[in-house]
Amino acid sequence: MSTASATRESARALARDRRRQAWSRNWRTFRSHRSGLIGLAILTGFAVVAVLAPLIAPAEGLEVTKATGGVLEPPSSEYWLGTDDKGRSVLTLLIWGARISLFVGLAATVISMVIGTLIGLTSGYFGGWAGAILFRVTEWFLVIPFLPLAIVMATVLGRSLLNIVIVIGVTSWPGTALLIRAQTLTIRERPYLERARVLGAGPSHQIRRHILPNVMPMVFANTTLTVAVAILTETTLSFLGLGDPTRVSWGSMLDDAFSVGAITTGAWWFIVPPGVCVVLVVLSFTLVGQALEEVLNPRLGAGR
Amino acid sequence: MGLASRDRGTGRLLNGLGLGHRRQRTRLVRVTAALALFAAMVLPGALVMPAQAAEDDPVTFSVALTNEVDSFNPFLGIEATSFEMWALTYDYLIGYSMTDMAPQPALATEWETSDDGLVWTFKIREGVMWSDGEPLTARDIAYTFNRVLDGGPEAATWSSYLVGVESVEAPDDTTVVLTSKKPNAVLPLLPIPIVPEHIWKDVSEKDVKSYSAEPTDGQPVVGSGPFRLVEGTAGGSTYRFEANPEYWKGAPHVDEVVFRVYKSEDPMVQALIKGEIDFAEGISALQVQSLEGEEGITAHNGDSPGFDEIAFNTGSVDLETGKPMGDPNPAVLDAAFRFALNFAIDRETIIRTVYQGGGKPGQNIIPPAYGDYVWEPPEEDAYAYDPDRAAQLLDDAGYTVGDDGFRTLPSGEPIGKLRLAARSDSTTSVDVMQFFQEWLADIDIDSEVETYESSKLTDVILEGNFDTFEWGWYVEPDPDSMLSYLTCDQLGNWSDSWYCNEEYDDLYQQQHVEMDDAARAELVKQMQEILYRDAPYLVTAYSSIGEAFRSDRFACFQPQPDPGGIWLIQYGSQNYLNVRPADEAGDCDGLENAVGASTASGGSGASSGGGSDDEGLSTGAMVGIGALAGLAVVGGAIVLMRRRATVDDRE
Repeated sequence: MSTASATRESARALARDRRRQAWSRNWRTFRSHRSGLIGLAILTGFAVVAVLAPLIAPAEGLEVTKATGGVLEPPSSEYWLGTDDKGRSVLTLLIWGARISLFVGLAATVISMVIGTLIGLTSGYFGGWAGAILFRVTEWFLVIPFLPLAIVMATVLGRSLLNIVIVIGVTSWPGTALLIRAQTLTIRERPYLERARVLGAGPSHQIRRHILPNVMPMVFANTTLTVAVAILTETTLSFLGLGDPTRVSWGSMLDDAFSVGAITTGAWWFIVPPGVCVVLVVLSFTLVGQALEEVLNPRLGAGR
Repeated sequence: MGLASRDRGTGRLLNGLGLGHRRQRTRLVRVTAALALFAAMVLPGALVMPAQAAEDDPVTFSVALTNEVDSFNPFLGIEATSFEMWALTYDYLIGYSMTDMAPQPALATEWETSDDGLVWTFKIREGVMWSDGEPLTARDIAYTFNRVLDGGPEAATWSSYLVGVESVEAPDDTTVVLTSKKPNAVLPLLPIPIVPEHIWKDVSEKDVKSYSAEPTDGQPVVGSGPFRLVEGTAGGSTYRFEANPEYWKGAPHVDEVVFRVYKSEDPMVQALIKGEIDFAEGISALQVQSLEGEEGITAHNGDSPGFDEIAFNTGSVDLETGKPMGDPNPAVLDAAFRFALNFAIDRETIIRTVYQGGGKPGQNIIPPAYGDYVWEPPEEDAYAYDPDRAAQLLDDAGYTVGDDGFRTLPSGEPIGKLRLAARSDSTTSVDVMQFFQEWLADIDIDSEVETYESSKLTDVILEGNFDTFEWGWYVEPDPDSMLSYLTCDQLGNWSDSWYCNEEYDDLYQQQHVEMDDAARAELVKQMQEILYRDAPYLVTAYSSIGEAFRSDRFACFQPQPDPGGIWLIQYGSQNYLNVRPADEAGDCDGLENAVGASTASGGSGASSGGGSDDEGLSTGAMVGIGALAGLAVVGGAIVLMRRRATVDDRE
């Protein structure tokens, strides 16, 4: 008995050890991607700002009745990025906008990942008519132009933060599903899964213990890329006036700027900062995503 | 009330020669606008058309609008733009004066009322011709009005002007006799476009709905107005009118008027700066401000006869059973509560920030343009921002602050969250409600902003499932229709506040039949006082409309009301007759307040000192945006390419 438990323990320790080694190996590889590191640094910066927003820029700065600045004041020592059409500091809006933009981006990605992974796994593993139907559904979603679908859904669902998350989540999963399906198909045919099947492992065991852990890195890398797309989509929808009009996001700032005619009035400080932030965050997620992909995808890694 | 009355948005347009869509914009359309804007930035100058015209070239006056014509058929359209097109194409029995929009002769040269106020006799101008050469007679007028009286689609828009009218007859070619069942103080206001009988007799009642009244086979639409439509279809983006040189008021000074529809305001303003258009209608106050330094352009915020309000649910009831319906907060049902909130709103701030300085603080439902009818509250009660007073009034009415720091109902129950409904398609609406929420918090009332699409909000209002909402009305030159929207009769129709007060209704009936103007004005003022105390509406602002034109090319726009009013989209087509090339302006035939008249021209172009500064900024902005757009495209491309590349690898 005691020997058995000892081996089991040591097996666990072994696994833990292996995992730790894998992590540090991956981190080393990741560190060798300078672009990925830069992206990570920028993202960390934005994340810190978003989390600490109440400390950096008190929430009163968002209240229109407490606004102290003039209408569309240019940048000054008091308002580093000028003021918006209601006299609020653009910097404050930008900081609070980071919260909404990042939140929507991440939350929508979680939805998209869950749907994409579930459908990808099932259609890849089970095959047959169920898999075929799921695959067709995926393809169908893939060929529908993404933006019109999102616009229609946002219009039908109404304008709230949660709805935007849902809209982006349920329109952006097909890419992930395809990817996961392809990966599942190759893993399913590997010898060790055949062995597991011979030993009597059921589908759920196979998926949970063997396939999912193997596609997980792929999901992970894909997540970071999806976040970038989700944030861009949030900005687009908000700019089109389909976001939650009572909350400040980068997209809604651009929308406001456009509707008060910031271009004609030359109020570049109302347009450029949210635009730059969107570009920076999207770029960072893309850089990190690419780096992760190369780290976690053995085939890409071998090529290096 | 007709079919259309259910649709509040529609009603607003109908009843104000509607400028109602001014602040609303269709969002999906924004995509196109953004693309157009992008194109405009990428191709600077590519779109600029030669501005200079040779001597014999026709003078074309081009106007940019943000709304499309929904129908050229005067019995079908409801958009403000359509009303403007009819005003160019057709004539009216009675016109509006430029100074105060009072009735003035148009096709009718004079009119008289019988002593009991039931029979109106109009003398009709002789020698007016349709554009196809047929004479326009009293019979055409009677024909048009009778089509409306007959019901059907024609009645939807216009029957409210002929309420109580029994018959309209033309005993001879120069007389129209209108007989009604009871006196009607709204007459002789009859803004119904007169259509030619010899054309319209071929359009049967059931064909009206599909009759477009657009040019066919290159033939212009037959009308008697100062211009005739030669090119354009409803829903299109260009409408071309040519002048009617035989017009009875005199030939227009321009040969052509072309309307272009822009999807949003900024591209429109840019087009004006570049000289692609001569007139931009419906721009924001900030844009007006930034155009002031621009050389060759004159811009202003014209007073528009309308108001915006925060309205309350004063008691929604099921019209069949008379039982309360919907779920209004008990607090908003109480007039004392609503009245107190008046002092919690800082109207000056709303004008300064939400309206960007365009507009005036609101007071009551009759805008200042209709001076004779306006009731001014006594000095000590005039709405002013005074949160302490609001708090005091609430305390007095029993809404005291409870243990949790929020006010309670007189019964001691918590008020809970008031719901502030805003129209999601209007930035103004959302912004005003955001201010309102914060001001309510200042006097310890909890609330939250909810947003609805305009059409959805109409349903919510009719179901009574609201506490407050923000919207606006355009008020006709005669206050009757505006006053009627707050009577008990209008519950479930035009009423949006579910306001019902018998005393008010009595006064409404009295003023409707009162033929003496002074006595009527007195009654109208009493009604406003009642509304002031009961506060179904908190009138937030009297709105204004931003307009700008190339003053280096055209001149002689007379404001309506004069002074201070708007230049285009007025009641009537007078300014299309006034407008002329700037070098022919002279004194604009003696129009005192017309812009660009030689006597006044010194002031208008003088403030061009800041021009270069502004230009520098906007160029900077352009470069910034261009760079951003470039970055975004590159970023997007990278993402896409990466994804595409790796997809292959992955599979």
